[in-house]
Amino acid sequence: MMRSFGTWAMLIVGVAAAGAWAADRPADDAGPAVKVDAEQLEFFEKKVRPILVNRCYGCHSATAEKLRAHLYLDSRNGWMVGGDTGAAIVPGDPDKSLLIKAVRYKDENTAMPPKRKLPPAEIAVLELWVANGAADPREGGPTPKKARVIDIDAERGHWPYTPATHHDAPAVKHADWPAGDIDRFVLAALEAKNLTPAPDAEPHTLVRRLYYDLIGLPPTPDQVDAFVKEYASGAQAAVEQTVDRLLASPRFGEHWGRKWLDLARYADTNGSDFNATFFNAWKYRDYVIAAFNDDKPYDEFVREQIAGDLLPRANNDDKADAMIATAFLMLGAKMLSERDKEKLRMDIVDEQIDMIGKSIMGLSLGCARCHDHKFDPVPQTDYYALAGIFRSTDTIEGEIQQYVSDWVRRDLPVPGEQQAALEAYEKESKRINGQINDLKKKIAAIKKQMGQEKKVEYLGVVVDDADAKLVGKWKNSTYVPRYVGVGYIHDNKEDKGEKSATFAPDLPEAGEYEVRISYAASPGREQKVPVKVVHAGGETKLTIDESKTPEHAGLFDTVGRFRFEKGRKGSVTVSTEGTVDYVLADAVQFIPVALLDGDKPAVAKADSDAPSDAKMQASELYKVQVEYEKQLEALEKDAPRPVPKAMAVKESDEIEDCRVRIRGEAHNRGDVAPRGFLRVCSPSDAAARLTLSDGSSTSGRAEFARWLTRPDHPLTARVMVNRLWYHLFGEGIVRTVDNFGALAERPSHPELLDTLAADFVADGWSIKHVVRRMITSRAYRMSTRHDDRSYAVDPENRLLWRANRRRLPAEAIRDTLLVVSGQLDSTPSTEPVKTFKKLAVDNGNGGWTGKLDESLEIKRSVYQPVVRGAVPEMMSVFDFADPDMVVGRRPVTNVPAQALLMMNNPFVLSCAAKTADTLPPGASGVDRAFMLILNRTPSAAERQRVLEYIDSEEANGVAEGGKDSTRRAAAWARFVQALFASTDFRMLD
Amino acid sequence: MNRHCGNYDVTTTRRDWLKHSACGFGYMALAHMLASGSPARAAQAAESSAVSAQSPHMTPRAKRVIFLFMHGGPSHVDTFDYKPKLQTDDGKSLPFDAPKNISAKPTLLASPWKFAQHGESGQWVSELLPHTAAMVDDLCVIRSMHSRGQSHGQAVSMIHTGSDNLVRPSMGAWVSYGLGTENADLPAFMVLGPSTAHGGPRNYGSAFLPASHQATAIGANGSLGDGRISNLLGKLPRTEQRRQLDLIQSFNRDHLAQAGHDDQIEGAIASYELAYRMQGVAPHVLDMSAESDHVKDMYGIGDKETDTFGKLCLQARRLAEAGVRFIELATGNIWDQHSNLLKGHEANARKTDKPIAGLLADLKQRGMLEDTLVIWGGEFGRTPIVQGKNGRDHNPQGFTVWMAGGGVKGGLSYGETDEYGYYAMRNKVHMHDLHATMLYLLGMDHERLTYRYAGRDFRLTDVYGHVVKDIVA
Repeated sequence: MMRSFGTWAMLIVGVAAAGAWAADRPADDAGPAVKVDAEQLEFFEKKVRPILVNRCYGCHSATAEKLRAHLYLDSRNGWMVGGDTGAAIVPGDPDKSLLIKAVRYKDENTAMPPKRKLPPAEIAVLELWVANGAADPREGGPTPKKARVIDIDAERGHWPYTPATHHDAPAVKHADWPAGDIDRFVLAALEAKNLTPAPDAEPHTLVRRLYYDLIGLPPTPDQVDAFVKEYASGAQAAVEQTVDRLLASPRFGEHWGRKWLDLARYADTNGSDFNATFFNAWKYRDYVIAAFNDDKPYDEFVREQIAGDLLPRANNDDKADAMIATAFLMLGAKMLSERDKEKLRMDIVDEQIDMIGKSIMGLSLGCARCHDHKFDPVPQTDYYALAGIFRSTDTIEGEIQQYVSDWVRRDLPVPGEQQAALEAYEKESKRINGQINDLKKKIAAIKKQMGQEKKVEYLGVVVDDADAKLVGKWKNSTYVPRYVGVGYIHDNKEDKGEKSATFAPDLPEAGEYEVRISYAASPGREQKVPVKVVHAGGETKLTIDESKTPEHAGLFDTVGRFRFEKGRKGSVTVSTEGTVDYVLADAVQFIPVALLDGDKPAVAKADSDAPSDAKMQASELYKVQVEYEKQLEALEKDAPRPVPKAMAVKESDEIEDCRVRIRGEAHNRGDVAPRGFLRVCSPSDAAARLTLSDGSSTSGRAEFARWLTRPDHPLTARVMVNRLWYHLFGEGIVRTVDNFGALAERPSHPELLDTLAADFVADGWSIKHVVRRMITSRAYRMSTRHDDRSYAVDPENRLLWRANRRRLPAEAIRDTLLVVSGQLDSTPSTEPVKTFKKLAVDNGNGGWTGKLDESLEIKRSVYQPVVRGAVPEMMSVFDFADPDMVVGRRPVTNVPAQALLMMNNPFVLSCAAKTADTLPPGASGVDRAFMLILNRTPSAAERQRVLEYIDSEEANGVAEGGKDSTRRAAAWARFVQALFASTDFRMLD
Repeated sequence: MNRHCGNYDVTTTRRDWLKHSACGFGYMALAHMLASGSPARAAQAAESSAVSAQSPHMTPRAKRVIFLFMHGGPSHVDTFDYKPKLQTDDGKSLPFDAPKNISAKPTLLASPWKFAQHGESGQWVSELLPHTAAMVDDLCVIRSMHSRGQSHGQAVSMIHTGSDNLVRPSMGAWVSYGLGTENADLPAFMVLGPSTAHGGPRNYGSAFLPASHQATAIGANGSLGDGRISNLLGKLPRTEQRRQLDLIQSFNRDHLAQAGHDDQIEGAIASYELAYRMQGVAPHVLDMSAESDHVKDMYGIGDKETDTFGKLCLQARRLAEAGVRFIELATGNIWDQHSNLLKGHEANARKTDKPIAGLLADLKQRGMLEDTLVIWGGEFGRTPIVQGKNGRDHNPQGFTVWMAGGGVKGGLSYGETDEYGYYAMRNKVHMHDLHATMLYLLGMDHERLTYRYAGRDFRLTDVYGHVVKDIVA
């Protein structure tokens, strides 16, 4: 790897930070002047200095064109202090000296010099020099830069790390404007700048806002009318009444839950390299929606998602919910095929820490993986204190296939009677399986004895089904009495395309063989069974007809003649791909062609068809085995409902603190970082330590979850109320909603934010309560009207002199199209990806492995599955959250793809046509469409313009051609589509 | 100038800026960030572009990139990296350790293809790629590539985004962000026949960069499909679509008038007009029927084996000509010969060799190769040791990528692997270095092309990467 010494010197930073994170020594503390004797001097000058000059000075000296990582190697001081911090050489100990480690080139990531390893002789010189004490006569030299020191105690006293406290609302001049304390904070800030709030929005604008903001769906024309009437007799009461009704609607959780799913990077498939299907992710989706609908206290909501599996719960339903909640930790896109499993583990831990940091604390903790955070007071040791907790938690477990990791699934608790039934079932199943296995063993033993006999019976080499390599579930049978061995197998006409049986002979010598196959023929068998022969010349694929009687003694049929190499290289595979009827497999015979006598070859070498005692015995046993298998099948048919599973984490078998990873490299281990929490968000260093009760050896996740939701945690409540504000007002009080760190924007209304946060905690972390408080404020009710004077003072509207105009989210656009066209099915979807296979997207041909259920097409967008890498265009074009990332704030783009979609997309066209079908003719049709889509009546000019357009299209439109009625309908549909495409619809005034 | 409008509108301004001022690159990144329409982003833009809002980083040698992605990992020891010792030591044991976690046996497998020197430069190319061999004097063959990721997912992500595990913008998105498009009516970044496997759209996505920088895709998995941009054309004839658009725009203008002033509404109005223009322009660009038979023959269009990939290559040239900045075309995941190396690689070579040579020759005859950087490569190479009977496993430790045109030295073999072609040894070029060099050739300093996201300035090359100046012409 071509790497600068910078990388290497950063590594030194890591070591120092890991050891004692304030370990940077002042430059003048670099050690006493060293006495160098003559011999050492000679060695240094003759051997060492030339190497340093020739190999290192290019990047690490005062004369370097560009100094890398502040590391000087042209003075003793330089390497003693090291680059940013720490020493490059430990005199007397080459193995501990990073400079020696680097030139040894053992680790690609730290190997130096970057382009080419030094000759062995030069490495030996440097090793010897260091081993002998690294005597170095070079005095002086530039003083290397010091690393930034993170002063945790000082930071604890600064925003945002001070706990939020309640502030009394300030006095205002226009006392009649505020509807509550929120308004007093807002108005006071405006008045301080001599600004006035915008007038209230028109009631039809306001009602649209309320519906979309609370439930993500438009009001019906009747609801608009009712609100406008109520509003006339009392604005505040009308708003409060509507808000309370909408807060109680199940649609509330669907709309607000989706915002949380953006943060949880929710998806129904893994994405990434191996797009595996998350069959149970939807349970987490429903958990989130229910949490919002039930107004689950936010602290509890957070605790369950971090450590629900560890929290005490009174009943099975609550236990199940809390378990399901931990999918939060598992939904990330994982590089499941990463072969370096240690790296995969650290990458997953990193994703979890970074995700929790951004979503719950508004901190980019991922930055502290490789080094102390560059801006925020998060030392690398704090990161690894958290990493220890998540490393002691299992997210992945086992393999889906070679090198590809699988994830943890956990049983959900079930009622007592189901549990009992399951146990009885499992006991019985175990008993029968035991019988079957015993019989198999007995038969195998007999067959072993018969082994010799078998060879006499058939020409060449015969491979029986009992020795075949089977893929999928095959059934044993003896129904048709002509077979090799003690029976044959069939596919039971199930799981077509997923089963195969491979017969691989051990051939005594190379040569040409005739391949014959036995399949216990009878009518009703598959006529096109795919057979693949792997032979010396490659592969040959053909099909056989298993309904016809085989030519050789009614047992074997010739497949063809092929050349095979000696040994186990060839094979014959029978598969069920593309078949409809029963597929059978019994045995395959490989006969050297030299043995075949003329054109009427015999089945056996000798006519010894008389069954031996042993064979009789085996056949009897086999019949018993088949009986047991029937019993098993019957048992399985009536099996109790299986235990439902969830994607959920579990405590690891190895609970341990994590070592710091130098430069974030998974295999580059530094010192142990004892498990704990972020110090800057704790009242003291002691409070950041993980203290487990005596004898407990848990990961510390439960303790971390409790720490995150401490009432005095400075960030958890602030970040959440800021998110709620952002969703309702279009901008956060802190606009960088996922980042409250040093690079965050300062809050526009700091005291308001703190008051909202403190009250949120005091009111029991009720989200609905805060939403209600915000949405019933006068500030929320302002119009979006532009005002030149205010704009001149505050062009970005930071002080909220008007409402922000916002976009409808992608879901609201699609859901509205379904509502107004009368198509929406508002029931949830269960198991939305059950039609997919293990992989949702095949890595070979790139296609989906299943077709989504059609019923999903008309469900609310939140109930459509999120297939990573294949987010529907209708969503992605309108800035749906990228499911690979934590998205607290969706991007707002204006791209032609949006315009093109609205103009030409078949879904939009069909919704427009269906909506147009419901409209009355003439002016009232125009009014109705405006009311349905824009929730207002058109102006006279608009009505006129539309009617003219419709008339003109009806007269001139050529696209649809044909009958007048068709042309008329098409003209109306185009008008409806134009309303869908209008900014009036796509934006929330 | 309207600061808050859509991507494509800004590009018009960008071109004006290129014409009228020396202020090039950094300004564009700024304008782009402003274009997202969010004040927070604009603030962020002003902040993060403070370092780069000056003259272009360096003289651009290339204006655009065509990236030929050989998904699956073609074998370098069977194509460009000739290893005589591998030929003589067939069947012997590998005399040093293979990397961990591979399925190949440590037994050397000689290349089944003969190598010969070609052109005036005398570079070695195997008989697998006769047409590419004929263009060898234009190729700069980097034989000392190495990358991260022993499996496809990581390595495919690495070559596209510079990260083997985290979600990062694709190199095409970075180029779009840095340079914008040359044609306001077309996207800056397009992919033809992109793979849906191993990350799919994530490999050509914009991640945290504004969504306007993600690729516009045509077709999938090595084929152009219906050859169309999604939703570009509807059922309406152009005149009727215009009338409907006029109605939409009348609503939008009413809305704007009522709002008094709103950048987002203005941006939407502009984007409808741009969409309409795109509908006029793009179909002509995408329509290959007017190309002469002679040109089609160069790409192997019409021949069964080369037709599919030939069309991708010809389309790439047309898009390059029309001003698209970064064009990726993908073969689909076809190069992954864990077994059947002989058959598999021969089929893949027959499918791609002639079209690629045709593309190079066509660019050259049009004088476009000078400022078009063509990059050929897979996510990794393949092992010199055998997997199964006749296959090779993944090899990110050493492999070959070639570049042509756009300011690189033609006829040069750069770097070496060990005597069997396993590990990159001399003048090693990491994937980060390749990215840094590509940006350099486009006139951008990879350390200064940054985007601030979640409180950090991100780069295509993360904290790595060196420009390989030795290969710059």
